[in-house]
Amino acid sequence: MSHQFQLFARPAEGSLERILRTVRARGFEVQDMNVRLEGGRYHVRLRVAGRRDPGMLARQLEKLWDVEHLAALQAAPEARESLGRVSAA
Amino acid sequence: MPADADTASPHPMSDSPTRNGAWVVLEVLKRHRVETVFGYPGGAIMPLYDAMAQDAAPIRHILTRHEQGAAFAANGHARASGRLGVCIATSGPGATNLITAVADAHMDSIPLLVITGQVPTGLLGTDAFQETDVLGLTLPITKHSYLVRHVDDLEAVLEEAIHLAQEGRPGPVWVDIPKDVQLAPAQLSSGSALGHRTSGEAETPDEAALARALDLLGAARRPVIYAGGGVALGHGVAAFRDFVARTGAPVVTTLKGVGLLPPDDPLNLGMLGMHGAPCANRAVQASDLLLVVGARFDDRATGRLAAFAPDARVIHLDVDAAEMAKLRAPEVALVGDLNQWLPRLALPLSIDDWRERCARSRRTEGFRLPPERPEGGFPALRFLDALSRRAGDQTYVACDVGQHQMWVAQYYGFHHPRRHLTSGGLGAMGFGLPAAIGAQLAHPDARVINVSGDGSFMMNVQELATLGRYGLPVKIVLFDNQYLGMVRQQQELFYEGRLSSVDLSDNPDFVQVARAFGIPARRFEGADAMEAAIRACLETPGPLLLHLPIEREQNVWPIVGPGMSNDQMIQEDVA
Ligand SMILES: Cc1ncc(C[n+]2csc(CCOP(=O)(O)OP(=O)(O)O)c2C)c(N)n1
Ligand SMILES: [Mg+2]
Repeated sequence: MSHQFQLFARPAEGSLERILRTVRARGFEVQDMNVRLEGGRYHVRLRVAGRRDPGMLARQLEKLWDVEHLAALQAAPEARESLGRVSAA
Repeated sequence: MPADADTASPHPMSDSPTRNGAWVVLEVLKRHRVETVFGYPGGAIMPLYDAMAQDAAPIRHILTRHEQGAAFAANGHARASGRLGVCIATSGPGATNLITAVADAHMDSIPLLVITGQVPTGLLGTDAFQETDVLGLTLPITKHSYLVRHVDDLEAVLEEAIHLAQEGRPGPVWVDIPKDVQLAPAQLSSGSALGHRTSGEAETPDEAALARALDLLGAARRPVIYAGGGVALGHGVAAFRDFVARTGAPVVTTLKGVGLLPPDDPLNLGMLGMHGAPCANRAVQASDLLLVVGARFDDRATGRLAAFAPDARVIHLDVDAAEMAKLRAPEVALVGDLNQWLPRLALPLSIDDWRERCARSRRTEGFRLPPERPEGGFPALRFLDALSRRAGDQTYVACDVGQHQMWVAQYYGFHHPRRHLTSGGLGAMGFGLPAAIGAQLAHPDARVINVSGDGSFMMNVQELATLGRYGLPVKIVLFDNQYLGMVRQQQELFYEGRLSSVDLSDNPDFVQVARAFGIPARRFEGADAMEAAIRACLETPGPLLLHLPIEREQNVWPIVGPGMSNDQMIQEDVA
């Protein structure tokens, strides 16, 4: 199952590594990644695959100090539901 | 030895210290009222140590005998005080030696500021002498880490690091400072000009979620509060106790929640999980509503997750949004400060039958001392129970890791979670002695006891020298079973008794070891020596090591096997 995220991150030292290691360590595999440094921040598009709840991954990514904003794109229906449940909680 | 021996300079002190990056570090620490730091010098951090030497009003620097000791001592200082702990080391091996204790702080959400020297910026990335990629090494074990490449950024980075270590869910933050940045001329801005972002937790209570939580609480017939380390970390112990008194719901705690309720409180069912009290595990398994407060469904607490509290709905309260639905999806997630949420959830519950059932179970299935066995060596469990009754509620106990750690959690009666210093998430042997040193420095007049095992004690034994150097009256209670007992127990139970590399019968003579460091030590053997050991522990004025040889094969009961449900507790076979 693959999931897409778009996020903005401060271009601090290590910020891309933090994003990548969070994806890996939380049990997902990067399928596609696009990064652009623009307007003083990283614009990151990520497509990852994994069997775990993508909502869990989203919350772990959002928790990173460098990550300023995260949105789930074209998530599978159950992923959107899971993200929605928690942001409503 | 006086503490300032560490910072005494061979050169006469100048009136105005050099204003450089190193000076900025010290000034920012003082601004945050840091009084004690723990560390170990070396090449890349020498400018910071030189700034300490030039400082007319230096922060107290405690020189440990290993960087791991420094980081665990800072960690223990933070746990016991509820404030930021600070440790310092050089680049390369200094930094790598800190890693275990910083990982421990990360797992247990302990606010720590870690400062390391780094090779000069011009040498970064050249495999220079004692260069390691500290930023890279620390990514998974810190809340955040920084490499400061310009002295102009240093003050703001330190301010942000100190803020970040303590805000929301606390944790360690690491600042790596190249030597030339420490040496570069610098000024301080007015500190107040530095703004902070906060991490993502919700700041305004969600009223709809609160209403749902109150509905669930009101409808519950068998509610249980499952509380963890987050309560004390969030400075919420008083609010928690008030909440429990008002709702009257039974409480189980995690290892780090031990002490949230006094041991004799009838609603306190004790610790849950792998070595939990049967009454605690049974209440959770039978519950129809779990109110999870500052806890995170750790596998040592839940056993097999799929079988954990199978009939319960879950209300989860935590400051960290990322804990919501990480392991178990709650019916209601309440993210934020416990001190805000708990008073608003304090609904008196009509659950007399359930309370009575839990109270009965507490009487018959709580932790109870096993029958006395005069032939059984020094009575470790009785000793811990009796010691806790006589040592006073204000005593701090820092454990190591193993069977003795579980016996402390089970039989030592704690009156506040901050008195119990234990490596919960990481389970790091070697934690106890340096953590006790940190706790003693945070509370110089308090009684501080390190309960250790013969395996764990050897992992930071060098810190006996720190105890001696600073004349700290820490008592070391060393339960010696000549085994890596916890591993032996699991080999016996789950690997068909094939013991593999757990025998420590060639341990050194611990009494002689302690004495070689100038620490008084006594051995107490057999059940008859228990009273003398308690008296020595409570009445000896300075430091003391109590060497207590215990029965070699003694086990921790009950135990839930790996992958098993908390319903499947293995109890001691007393036949
Ligand atoms: C640094 C570290 N290495 C290995 C382990 C695995 N381990 C857990 S408990 C234990 C045995 C501890 O022995 P001891 O300190 O004598 O305590 P006992 O269980 O005998 O009370 C070991 C090896 C660990 N937790 N930490
Ligand atoms: Mg042992």
